[in-house]
Amino acid sequence: MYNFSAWKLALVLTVLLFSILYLLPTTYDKLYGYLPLWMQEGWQDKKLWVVDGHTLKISLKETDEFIYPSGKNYRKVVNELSDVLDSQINKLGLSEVEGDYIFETTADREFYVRFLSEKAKAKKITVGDLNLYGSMPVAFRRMLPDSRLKQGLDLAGGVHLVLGVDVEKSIEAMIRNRVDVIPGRMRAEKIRCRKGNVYGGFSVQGTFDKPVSQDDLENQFADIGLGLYRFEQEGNKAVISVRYADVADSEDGASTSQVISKRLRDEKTLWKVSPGSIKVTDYWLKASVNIPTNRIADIVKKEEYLSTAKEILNNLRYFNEPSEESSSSATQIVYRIRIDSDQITEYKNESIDQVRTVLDQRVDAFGVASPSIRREANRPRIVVELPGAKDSSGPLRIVRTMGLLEFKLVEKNPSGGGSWYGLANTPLPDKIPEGAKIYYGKVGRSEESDGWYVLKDQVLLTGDQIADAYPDTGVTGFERTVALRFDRDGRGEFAEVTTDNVGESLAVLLDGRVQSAPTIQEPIIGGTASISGNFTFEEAEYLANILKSGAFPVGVRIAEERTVGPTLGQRSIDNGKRAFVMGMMLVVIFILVYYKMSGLVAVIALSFNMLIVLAALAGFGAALTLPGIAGLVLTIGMSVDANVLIFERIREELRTGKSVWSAIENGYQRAFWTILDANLTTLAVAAVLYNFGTGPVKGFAITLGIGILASMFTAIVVTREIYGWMIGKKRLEKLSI
Amino acid sequence: MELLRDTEIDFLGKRYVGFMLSMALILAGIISLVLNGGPRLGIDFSGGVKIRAQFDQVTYDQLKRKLTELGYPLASIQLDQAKKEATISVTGANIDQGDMSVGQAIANGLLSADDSSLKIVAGGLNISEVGPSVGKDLTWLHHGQFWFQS
Repeated sequence: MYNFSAWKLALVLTVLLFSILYLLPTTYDKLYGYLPLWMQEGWQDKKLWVVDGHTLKISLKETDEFIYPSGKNYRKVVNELSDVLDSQINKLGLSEVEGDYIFETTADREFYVRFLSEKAKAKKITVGDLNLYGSMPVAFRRMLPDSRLKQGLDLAGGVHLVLGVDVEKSIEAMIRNRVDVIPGRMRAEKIRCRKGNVYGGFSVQGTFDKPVSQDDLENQFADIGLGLYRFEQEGNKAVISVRYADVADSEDGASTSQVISKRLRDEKTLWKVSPGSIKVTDYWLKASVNIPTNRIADIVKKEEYLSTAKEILNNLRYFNEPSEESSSSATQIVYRIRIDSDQITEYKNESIDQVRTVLDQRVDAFGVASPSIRREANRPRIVVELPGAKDSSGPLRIVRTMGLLEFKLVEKNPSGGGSWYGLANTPLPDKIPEGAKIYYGKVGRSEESDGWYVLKDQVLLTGDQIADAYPDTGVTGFERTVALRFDRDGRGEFAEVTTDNVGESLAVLLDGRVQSAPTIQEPIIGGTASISGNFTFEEAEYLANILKSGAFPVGVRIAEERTVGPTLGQRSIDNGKRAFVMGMMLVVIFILVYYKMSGLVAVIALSFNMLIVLAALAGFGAALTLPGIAGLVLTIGMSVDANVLIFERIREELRTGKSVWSAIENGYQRAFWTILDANLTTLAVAAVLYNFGTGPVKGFAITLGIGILASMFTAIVVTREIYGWMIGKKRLEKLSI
Repeated sequence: MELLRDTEIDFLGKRYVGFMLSMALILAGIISLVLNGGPRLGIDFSGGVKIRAQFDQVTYDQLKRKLTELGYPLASIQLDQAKKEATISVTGANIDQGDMSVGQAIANGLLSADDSSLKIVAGGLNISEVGPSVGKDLTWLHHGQFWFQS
């Protein structure tokens, strides 16, 4: 006999209630409105005027506290606001291009939306249609779920970028930078350590099919100039240490360690490498310190001297403690400092986080609506999603600029005539004095003016020392320039640099390209500078924003890019909806015809299942994507499959002559394990897909996983309880199945 | 489920026929894989550019000519005349170069075509680009190792 259990009823009703609550903001948007909750709460009737029904005017003056709660500023508020307004106006079928509305911010920080066109008037569109405020009291809303089911980029349209962070190259750059820095620091402490006595490198380990000789290796690498720094072999395993200066930089932008690793796997080698065995074990740095003769004898003095040297090396970030090499002698101590895998991981993590932070600031500064920038777990990748972006050229530009600003002095022309630069006839490399290099960039003011400069190597100032940057008009009042304001340290240094070098030209480089090279007329104490470079206003604003956000600490490259146009996105939504409805209809018709009343029970369970999956997606803040819809349609099948198993079992039980209720009970019991097994295997697949899959595959895995769990609940628990409530207490002769 | 009831087919008696049939299918599959040098990889795996675009009206020849003009004679073109939609794939293209992405460059080339029938419908453009390293990450089947090792 059926035992009514109150907690099961309560469970089913609770799940139903929560599903409905979570879907309400999506399906019944009038209750909730589209402005962010804090705007609806703080701005209600205060600063939002509706003028004549066709104009919306919002004053965003900074003095009003409720306009900017903590953490919000004008820029952020405008971004949030235009995001909401854009999408709402889009929904009304109006477009900015056709001038259906005018959208502007004035100098007084007032924000206008006006519906002007014939189309807007014909459609009788008013501000009220924007659905900005919900009809439900905000205090009440605070207690309810608030997130809407979002559409993924493939449905809504937008740009999706995956950025790879070049960690190897940046470690290499970091080591090279340290190599440059150490001798200077040593000298400052009166420790003898010459420039040529500090160098960096890395060690590669590999397992070969036979012992390899040093000669073999050197022959193989002869053409890229590798003289092996050190070579150790144990059986078929070899560790090859390579010095950076020994290998020429590759042209395609690969790091030196990548070049060597790739070469070792090359097919033309004398050996074969077991797959996956080539890896960089560590990066290192060596510094030889000479001991002055008067300290060699005195042990205390010698110790003192060496501990200072060690201290300097010890202070290098990311490096291990220095250890003494066996090649040390009485007059010269060689220190070796390693970066091992732990520190490499730390360095990677930090640099990826830094890239993300800079990206955040840049995207924010450029006013992109509701962007999503996140790290991909376990991989040096950053995913940038920009819904609504129409093409990728803008975002790509933001991402491609490193933003590295440097100030360098222009070399004097040896044949007289001041600074050494020109438009043509680039000087031959052997004419360039030591400590200087040729750079390219803008010369003069005309548009087509790519020329060359000979610049001193020393970097006098970098973009790190900039406190603020903004577009400005130059002295003439016509020219667009970028004004820079240095922070306190930078101000001092800039004053020093300009005082010491009056009459010389100071070149401003962005990412290694000269932007301008003005002559220093007089010392600049105020800590402001400007870059002139024949900019348009957009360019000046762009450059200012880049400089304000800072430079990427490491190289970034585009690994993946997807742009979805809004029309195709809409088509995908339509197709997805059609697939969903068709699938659902076919299943429902079949199941009703085949199982009659019991089929109805299954259909109720199926609908409940869909409700739970959509509510869960909305609740998690996950976006519905095309693969997500595929997962949803698949769930229809999975869910019905469980019910089919149960119903067939019940039919069999009925055929053996059992009473209706005991047939149902037996049917559920027997079918349960089969259903569990089938669902668990699918769940395992979903878990694997989620773990190892990328973007779209993940979306599929999530909906599939939620769908399976929900279908276990609806197909087993819910349908059984429905049977119980329908027929549990009745003595039915026949079950409609 | 019992869609067909009261049937009597001697499945076990004919099992050798079944064996032969499945063996033949498996063999055919292997031979086809060997002859074609493995499955043809999509751009998700091989890296490259895929463009899906809606046109007012377009023919295969027109697209082919324009793409050759733009420097992509090897691009594969699939045309769905019913939906007026073309899918253009360029596998193995190096996407990380210059200020504009390769996909955008091709799309712009098509957009600026003089031939008015080649015009892409506004908003009806879908560009996917995958760099070679991502492709490699995903092709773990080919490399015999899981990509999480990197």
